[in-house]
Amino acid sequence: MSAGHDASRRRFLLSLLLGLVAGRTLVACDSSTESRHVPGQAPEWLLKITGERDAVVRIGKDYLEAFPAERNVEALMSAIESSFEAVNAAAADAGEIVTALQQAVRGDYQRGDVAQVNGWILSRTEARLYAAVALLSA
Amino acid sequence: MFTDARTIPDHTRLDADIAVIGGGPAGITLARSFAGSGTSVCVIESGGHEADADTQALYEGSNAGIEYPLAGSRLRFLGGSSNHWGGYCRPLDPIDFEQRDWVPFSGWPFGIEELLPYYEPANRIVEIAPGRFEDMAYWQQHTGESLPQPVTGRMQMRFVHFSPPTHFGSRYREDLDRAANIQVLLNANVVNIAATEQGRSVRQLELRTLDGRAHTVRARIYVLATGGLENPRMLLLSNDVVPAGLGNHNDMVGRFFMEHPHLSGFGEIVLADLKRLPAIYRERVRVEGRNANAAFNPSDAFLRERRLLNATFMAGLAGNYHRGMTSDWDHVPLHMDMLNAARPFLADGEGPIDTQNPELIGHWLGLGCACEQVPNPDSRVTLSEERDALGLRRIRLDWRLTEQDRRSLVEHMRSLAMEFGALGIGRMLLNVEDDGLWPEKVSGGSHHMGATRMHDDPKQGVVDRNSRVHGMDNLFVAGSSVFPTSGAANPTLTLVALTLRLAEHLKGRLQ
Ligand SMILES: Cc1cc2nc3c(=O)[nH]c(=O)nc-3n(C[C@H](O)[C@H](O)[C@H](O)COP(=O)(O)OP(=O)(O)OC[C@H]3O[C@@H](n4cnc5c(N)ncnc54)[C@H](O)[C@@H]3O)c2cc1C
Repeated sequence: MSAGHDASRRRFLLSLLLGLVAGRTLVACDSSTESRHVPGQAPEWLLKITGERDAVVRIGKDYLEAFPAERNVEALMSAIESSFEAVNAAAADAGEIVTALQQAVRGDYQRGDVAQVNGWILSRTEARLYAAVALLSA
Repeated sequence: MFTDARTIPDHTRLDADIAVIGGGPAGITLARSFAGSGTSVCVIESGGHEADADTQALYEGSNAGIEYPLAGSRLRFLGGSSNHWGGYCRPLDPIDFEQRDWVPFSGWPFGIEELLPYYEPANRIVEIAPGRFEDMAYWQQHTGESLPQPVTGRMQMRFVHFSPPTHFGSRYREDLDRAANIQVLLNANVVNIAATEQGRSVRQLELRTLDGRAHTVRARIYVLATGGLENPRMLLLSNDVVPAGLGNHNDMVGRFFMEHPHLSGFGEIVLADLKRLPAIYRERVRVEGRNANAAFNPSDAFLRERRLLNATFMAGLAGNYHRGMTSDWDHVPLHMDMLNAARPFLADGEGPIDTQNPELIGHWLGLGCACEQVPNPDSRVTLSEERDALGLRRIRLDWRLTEQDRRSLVEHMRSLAMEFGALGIGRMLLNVEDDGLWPEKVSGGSHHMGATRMHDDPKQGVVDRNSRVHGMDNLFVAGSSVFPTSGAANPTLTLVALTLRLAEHLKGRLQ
């Protein structure tokens, strides 16, 4: 996969993620994040892969509190991306990404790649998805 | 035949081939093994057919370690604690018998194969036969549900069977009554196991009733079966010849007391879609006339790789969540948030999980565990200075747990969380701080093990591989106090199997 393709997909993902919080004031903690200026439409894949927004945000905030070094949308997105790429490097459309993420999350649990978040034992990828949404909803 | 010790003349002497002290599951099993044979058996039981407060009070004592209900965790009348046991049954795992270099003092004198011939008859005695403890295909076929196999490599599925539960005193009363060669002496407390001068044999048992009568029993063989806490107490109390107590030349009696530590509310699992968790994984299911429940058990490979202790976990459906639900319990919003956030990982499609019940968002499971603890010489039974109504020193228990026990338990809890996540079934909330301390609310399962442990070397155990007290030729111990390690299975099935093995050994000796 080419670097140009990577970058455009990253932007695509970010815009999809941002779409989730469209209509809200976006204040990402990392002010260098270009993404906070790119609100889009709520993407199908993200709505599918994370549930009810308020609940997601609360858990996402708990994760960021436990792992403050991850308070960076770009870094989170890049980590999420590598997680699903490891399952399906060619995933491009919403359906494929959702399926790959579901598998990636199960794979995290299977390998023991988990984080403890306010008592919950969560897949690292899953927790990052919640955290990304939380950051963008602040 | 039953005899009330309060109704026979004072200073009666009874004779038998075998004297069994205690009429609980171990004592009754041993006696029944000789029913109808040419061997005469006298069972001496402290209580009667029903509970009695004064007799029960003989079980009171004090704690020096973790707070433990000494009278509340056992019953002192015919049938013993089986009068209120839960009936959970599962054999020990093969690894429990092994000497594991990461588990101090581990290793039985024999492997599980030595007990295998006795487990099936034991299954019949506790009324759960045939045992299908590992037979996934059987449960799959009979429940009609596809049973997911663990995928992390950390866990494996086992199946706990539930005894009705068998109350040994009432269930086997008729057998004991009918057997011409068995005499059960009720309301008779053994107060001393009197030894011969050199302390190498038992000479006789000295009995008292609470109303003051004294009797004696003489036999060729004596079997101590008064339960996991009382067995060491009886040996320590019997000190007229050997001051340290019978079998206690090496200061081993009472040491290595083990329980299955349990933390109530250590964790909860939320799940959105019950269809992802077969009924037998979350409740008792009745198949072919008996109840069973799946248990999550660490795999052998995982135990070896991470050098952990054994454990058994079971889950039970505890409640349902509906949209907008509120509660005073502060875990409810946490559970509901997780169900709402992780919905796409935990259920198919996007609509309501249950179209008949559109407000339903999911469920939560309570968790139970029976965990192995490391055999620890400092976790022990001794005698207190207080005396009971018979003038005997009361029991003093110093139950201790170690950091190794705690770390192992926490690791297994995390494994359980991973298994539920990897299978896409649920998410687990862990309520135990990983702070190096045992939470105060730790309790046991009324499983009293280890305090007269079995070991071939008299310096390392109280009884030998045949349950004979080291250094004594005619005193044997039956019950879970002989377990060198506790494993993670409830003890009664195994202690019944061990008792059947002991009965066979004694038959050989008496020939
Ligand atoms: C609430 C509860 C739930 C339990 N649930 C389970 C379970 O689900 N699964 C499981 O495997 N185990 C369970 N257990 C443990 C189980 O009950 C014991 O493992 C079992 O009863 C031990 O049998 P035993 O014969 O060795 O001792 P006991 O049952 O303790 O019997 C000892 C007998 O000796 C008599 N005795 C005591 N001292 C004297 C004396 N000095 N002279 C004469 N007689 C004496 C007593 O009266 C008693 O009848 C549970 C226990 C409790 C309390």
